[in-house]
Amino acid sequence: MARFSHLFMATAMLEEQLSELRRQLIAQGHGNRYAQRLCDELRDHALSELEAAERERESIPANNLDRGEPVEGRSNKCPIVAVDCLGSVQVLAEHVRTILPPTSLIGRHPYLLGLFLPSLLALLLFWLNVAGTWQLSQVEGINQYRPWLISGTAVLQFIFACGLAGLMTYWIGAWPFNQIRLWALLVVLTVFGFVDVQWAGCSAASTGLFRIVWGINAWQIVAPWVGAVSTTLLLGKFAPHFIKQTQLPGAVWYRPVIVTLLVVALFLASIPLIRDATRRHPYDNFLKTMNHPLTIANQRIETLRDSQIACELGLSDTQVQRLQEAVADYDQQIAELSMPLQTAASHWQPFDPQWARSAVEARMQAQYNILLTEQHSKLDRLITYKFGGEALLLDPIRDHLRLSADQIRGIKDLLLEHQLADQELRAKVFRSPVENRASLAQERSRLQEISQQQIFDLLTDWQHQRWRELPSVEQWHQLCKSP
Amino acid sequence: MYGYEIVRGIRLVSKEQFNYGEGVIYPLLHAMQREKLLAVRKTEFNGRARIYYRLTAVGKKRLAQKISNWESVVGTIQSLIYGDGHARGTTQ
Repeated sequence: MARFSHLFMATAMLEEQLSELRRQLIAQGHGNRYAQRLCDELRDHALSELEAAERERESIPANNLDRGEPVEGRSNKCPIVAVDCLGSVQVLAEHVRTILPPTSLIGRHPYLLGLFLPSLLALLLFWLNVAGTWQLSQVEGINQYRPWLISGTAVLQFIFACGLAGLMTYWIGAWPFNQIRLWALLVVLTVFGFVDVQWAGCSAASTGLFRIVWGINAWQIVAPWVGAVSTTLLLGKFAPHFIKQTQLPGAVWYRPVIVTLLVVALFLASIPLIRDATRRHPYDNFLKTMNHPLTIANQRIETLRDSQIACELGLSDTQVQRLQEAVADYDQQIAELSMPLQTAASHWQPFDPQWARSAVEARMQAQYNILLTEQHSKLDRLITYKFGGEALLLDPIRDHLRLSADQIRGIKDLLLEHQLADQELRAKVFRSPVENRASLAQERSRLQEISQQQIFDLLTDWQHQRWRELPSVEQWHQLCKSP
Repeated sequence: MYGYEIVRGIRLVSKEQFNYGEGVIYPLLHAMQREKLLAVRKTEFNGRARIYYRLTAVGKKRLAQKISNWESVVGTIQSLIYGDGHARGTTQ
């Protein structure tokens, strides 16, 4: 009974000392994990000594114990002495600090905190960058930000690659390898590598080096990375023996260097495979929306729908729709023209949005000129020859065209002026000899054209009111017949 | 070997001449493990954690190197104290 009481007291004292030691170690700056490990070992040591002392006690005859003779230089009160062997906790902690100076958290986990955590930060920044690019793609003027976006993406990609290498190195160094862990690590790193390839592809696509398009055969992307990871693991496992023979200084740091170089080299080597194997990547579509002339044209069309600009151009909804269709057709032609450039060239031809933009602008201008001429000819046919300028002043026509008071007044003045000039010309024709009649008729026609142009200019007075599309002949008839 | 065995072994082999406490031995073992001279294997014994240490290939090389250095130093000191003949005699 007294023996169990001794044992219980010894264990209680030991635990008290160990918890104090643990507190002091952590206060000194040692890691929690290390303090726990040392306490575990000291506990095992003390209890082993206790058990050994118990065994010795049991092997000693009782009369020897009564005389209190020490056995092998030990006290016969061995349980207590064994615990006292831990000695002063302060001295013990001091020993530990002298032999194993405490390191900071980053010193204990250099790869994890120095490389992997920054890479997580880089990941966040990467997505912010993408989000920013997407936002900027919604407005014009994206090209002035492109260098920043490209360089930012590339730098973040590089940091992430370093983080990946750091994580691999950390795991290689920290884990004793067995088959399950090896496979788990392989799977995790392959997934990381897979994601990394995609991001790298995105950044490369944004640089215009090549255009990543997603997924004909996923194995063609996965396979190089499985190979890369396997090779890295094997070399990471066996490299120390090779390196040791070369007696490199600072041997602790060669692993991250080797792994980083391997990852970078294998990634670069896998670029052609990725380039050939991938098509229709979502990021590529995203880039298309950023640069494609159709997008620009759609933006323009949307802008044209804006009331003020549509008023300035005098385009009706139907005209805007037709213009949009014409631009879409033209974009199709541009895409077809640029396709051979992309596929036939040995080196990727970067897509030039400026070229597409100017082409679309030229096309839109041409289309607008066509519409303008069409309006002009309608006015010519409908007003001048069929119904006369006075028809413009009929209430239904006036409402249909939404003529302002100034426009109506201007048209009246023009018509009056034209009538006066026409009367003069008619009088001249009747008074003139026959041979002059041809030239006078030409003069009259010219006057009519001038008048028509003046009316047209007045109707296209963009400062006053939106000019709707002129009615067709049938509409015109109906409008004139209506009360 | 685990920590207690090492401490006890040192004590017994040195006939109590080297009686290092565990406060010295364990941090030293940890420092050697950090230098990859020792490898560890963690097991459980009677409900408590026990860590076994073994020499790695690097540790064995370092040990051989240290023994060689030690022998060289001892030989030099002996030759300084007793002269070449005695030193040669002792080393042989």
